[in-house]
Amino acid sequence: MMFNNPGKRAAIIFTLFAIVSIAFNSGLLFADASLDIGTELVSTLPELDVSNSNGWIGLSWMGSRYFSDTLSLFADASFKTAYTPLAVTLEAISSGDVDLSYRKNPFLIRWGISGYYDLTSTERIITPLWQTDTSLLFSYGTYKFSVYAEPGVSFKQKTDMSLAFKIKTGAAYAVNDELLLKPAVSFAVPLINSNIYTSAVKPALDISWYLNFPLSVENKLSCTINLQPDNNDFVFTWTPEISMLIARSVTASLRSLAEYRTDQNYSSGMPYDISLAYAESQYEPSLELVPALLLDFNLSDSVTLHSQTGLDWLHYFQSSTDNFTAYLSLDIEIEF
Amino acid sequence: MRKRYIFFIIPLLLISYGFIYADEEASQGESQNSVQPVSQQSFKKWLMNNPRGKRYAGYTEYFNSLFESASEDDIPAELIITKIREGAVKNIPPRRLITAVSNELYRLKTAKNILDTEKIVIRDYSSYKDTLKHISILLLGGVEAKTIKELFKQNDKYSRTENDVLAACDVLVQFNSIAQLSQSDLLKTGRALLMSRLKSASFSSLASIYLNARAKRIKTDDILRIIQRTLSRGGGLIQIDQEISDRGSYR
Repeated sequence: MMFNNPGKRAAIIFTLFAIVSIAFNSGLLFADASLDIGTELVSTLPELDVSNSNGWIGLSWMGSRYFSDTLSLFADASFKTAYTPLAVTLEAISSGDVDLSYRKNPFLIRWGISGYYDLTSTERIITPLWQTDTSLLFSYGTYKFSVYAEPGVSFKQKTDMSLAFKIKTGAAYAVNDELLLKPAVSFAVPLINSNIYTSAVKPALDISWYLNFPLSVENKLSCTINLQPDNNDFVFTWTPEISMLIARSVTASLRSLAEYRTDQNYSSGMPYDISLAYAESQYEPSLELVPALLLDFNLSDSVTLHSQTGLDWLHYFQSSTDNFTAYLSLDIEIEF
Repeated sequence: MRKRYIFFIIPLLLISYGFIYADEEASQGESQNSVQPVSQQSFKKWLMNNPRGKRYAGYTEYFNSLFESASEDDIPAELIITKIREGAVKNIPPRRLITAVSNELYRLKTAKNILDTEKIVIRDYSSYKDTLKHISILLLGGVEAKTIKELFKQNDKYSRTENDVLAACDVLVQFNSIAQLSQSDLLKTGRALLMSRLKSASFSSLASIYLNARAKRIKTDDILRIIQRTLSRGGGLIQIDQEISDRGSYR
């Protein structure tokens, strides 16, 4: 009942966030937090549509703790609220993840839970969305080869509540310490409300190539096949990505996502997302300044220009050791 | 297959010669002394006769003083001469060239100091020269002498050769090229490379993983911790890739 009230739900999330933050910042755990305030001007060419431009404020936090050589914890949380004046849209999105890992070579067991809460209002009509995923990973890995199985459940509530069981199993094989082949199969079956989650099987193959100079090439192929008796449609996706160092402190990435769906007889073509990032830093024992420049081009049927420049200020509360580092990070970003 | 890419990484060319140990009595100076005067003579001819060299002929005395200074520390004059000729090919103005050559000599002396401090004796003249040049490139790439020395100190502990240490330092230079790191981070990452089960020829793949993780907007500290901890626990590419994929999925 309590989770039906958006206000109480938001309060619970904030409290959990605060408790975990205090624990991580109590001097025992590695953690960082950042506050982002900015405004974004998104212009879509050739129509010069700027209706998606917005102002936003966000808080993000990440922490990890290695209790011992075998036990570690990773947590991540973020909150962002954005206002889009032309579309009269107010977004408030909270998300968080916690992973607890136990590694005793060659075995790894990891429990993870993630939550996502979206309180978006359009024209003052609020449509809250709450989603939680939890899974348990069992992995056996050697230097060259690993296999894993990860069963889990997904819970989603928007207007209706739904629950699904998911399992993913796969392997990874390293060729010559530079090429990784990662076949996997996922399977999902709805437990409650099959309108949101459907029975589906998803074979996938990821190929990652880390070359002997700063260049990486990734190819992700997957096919989601619907297993409902009256519906055997499938969605095929291909996600290639290349990242390279083009000059000192300047990296470039090229990403694309091609999709083909039989249910709508739809093919997305090959939209490209090109980004250039510049990072330079001057290190002192306790202070780091990182100006960054990011430039995105999205070339599809329209062109979206997006650029970002920022200054990252970090103050280390104490010097790094093998097991503990803590710093405060303040990101100031200007996007247009 | 890797050799296709070797032209991208000049330092890797240099380490291919390898080190040869010698007893304390080995006379490396003898071979150097027999080569240096010949190099300097041909250099003087080049300054007088070559159209590019003539531009720098007015600085002969200064170059001679550099050779003398190099000779005092057993630095082969050829390394200085190569630097001058490189500058001449690029048509660098004389004053800028002098600054660059002076800086190069300082780095070569530092490199010699590193070898002396760590009691690394290289009998083969060609290998000795290439190693000095290699370390000079590492210093230029932002890996400080104290970091290189510390890694040389630890090679025996992890059953690594001096070549492995230089290969690890090559990766650190690549890391620095992607985004500058502190010496403490460079040392920890270099140490993890030496502790790892990776062959030195595969060290460079780590720079590509680092680049890929940064493209996924993962924080530098987090990437380094994943790499350092995974390697020091005996993990390899698979485990690092898995951890970085997990982090990337949160962003």
